[in-house]
Amino acid sequence: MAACMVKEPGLTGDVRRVQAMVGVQGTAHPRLVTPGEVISQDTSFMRGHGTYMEKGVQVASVAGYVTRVNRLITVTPLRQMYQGAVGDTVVGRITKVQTNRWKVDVNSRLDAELRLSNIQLPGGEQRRSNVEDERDMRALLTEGDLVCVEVQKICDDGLLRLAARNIKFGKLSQGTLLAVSPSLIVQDKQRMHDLPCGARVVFGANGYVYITPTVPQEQASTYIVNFEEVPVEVRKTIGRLKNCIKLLAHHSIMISPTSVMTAFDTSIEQEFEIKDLLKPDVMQDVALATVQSMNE
Amino acid sequence: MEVISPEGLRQDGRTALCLRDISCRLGLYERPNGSAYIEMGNTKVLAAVYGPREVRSLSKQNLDECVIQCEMSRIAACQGERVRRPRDQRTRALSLQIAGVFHAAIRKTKYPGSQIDIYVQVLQADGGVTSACINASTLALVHAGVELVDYVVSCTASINKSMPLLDVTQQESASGCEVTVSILPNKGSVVSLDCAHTLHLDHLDEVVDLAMKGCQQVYKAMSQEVETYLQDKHAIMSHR
Repeated sequence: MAACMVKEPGLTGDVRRVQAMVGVQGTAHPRLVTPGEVISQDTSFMRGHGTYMEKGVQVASVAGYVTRVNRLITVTPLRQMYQGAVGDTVVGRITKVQTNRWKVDVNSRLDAELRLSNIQLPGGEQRRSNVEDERDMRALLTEGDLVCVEVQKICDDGLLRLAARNIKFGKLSQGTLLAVSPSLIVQDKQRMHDLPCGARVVFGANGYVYITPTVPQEQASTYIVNFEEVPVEVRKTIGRLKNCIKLLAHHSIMISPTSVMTAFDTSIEQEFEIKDLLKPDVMQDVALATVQSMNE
Repeated sequence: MEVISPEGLRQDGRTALCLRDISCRLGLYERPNGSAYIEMGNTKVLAAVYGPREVRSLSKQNLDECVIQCEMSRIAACQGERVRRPRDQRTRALSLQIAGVFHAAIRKTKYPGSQIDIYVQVLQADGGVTSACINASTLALVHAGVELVDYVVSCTASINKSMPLLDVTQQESASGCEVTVSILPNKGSVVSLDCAHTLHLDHLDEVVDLAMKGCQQVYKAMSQEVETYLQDKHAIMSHR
């Protein structure tokens, strides 16, 4: 099945071309619904997310596809805020410093909270936090800092409680942040990947992707940022990776270490300049090539 | 200038009960959670939705349901003459009206303690501005994945010399009136009813009925676009 090579201007043009490549797979067509559409007249079904019951009829409340698991019907929208799952690794930005906790923006409907008792205090050994620690909270993490943390618990009202009890979690050092839709991030046990091109990428489950230069494993305290100058070659790699992830997100291709590396390698093979990767036609070419090579 | 010529055609060649061409797009921008663009004839409106997200000012936070805010503005070149201020009393009033309309449609109890912001910008105004704003906001909310009871669809109607007109332009409404009706199409319930200029009570029923019929036609066009968008995006996303 060949993708048409006619240049079609307009917004839906590029999506249709990438879809033509993907259409080869021939996945089964699930049911797509829009808000207000009746899903089922059966009252014995349990209603999940994305639906509501009215006068004994189950109606969709979002635009998405219907999934049925036994007696539970849910509608999953294509774009959604990060809902949160216990054990997920997320990347967040500190918005407020309060008495014994920090408020973190994690691309969810409420800012999550990171308690002082849930982080690994500097000094290495495990100890209880005391009054001095509370006063020194700003020295550890202040407003605007980026952190990589784990979701510990989801409270009843949807508030996420975060923890950074491991050495691999904590404040993120030099690098660049990229926000994509959480539904595009592939489920993966390991979120931090050291890519062969010389950069480390953290794929936050909430859609925040952070790219940094590879750092050596040993780090006594994760709260001191290393401001040593990053060499130009590494900066270029990071820039290219960021543009690759951006173009994958633009064409709604799932983002995983494999797809990112494929796009990265394709862009080097076809000798695109890093800044060219921001142009719509180049983005389209690389996206098509990535989907093609992933199909093989 | 006659609004309706002796042959029964209007200034732009439509018949009295004909709707203007509608064209819409979902998902123009990546940064807002949802975005949409709609063109109803010559009226062009852009909408962006941010949210649900943490409330900015704690005084407004409601722990039972979400807070809905809307901000509407017009670009300087939207009308024949340059608009002095993009945000004035009129746009503030329309912003509150649009926010009010969505109080009925968004399932607020699903997002307690959060805030949903709707930003609407009018690029070109040629009658039916409020309608276009509401329709664009609905599409942006659908794109954002915010839970809605139903679409909110809006349309205008008017009357001219006892002849009801559907979807009026700026010129046509200036000489008569402009009634804007917003409905929930699958439920058939009216969410808002607004009248600009004067309308005789005797004509109210037929004008509102006509507008409601027009709304159903607009709904068809909008849901068609949403379905096309879903099919395109879904095919790609289900591919791992």
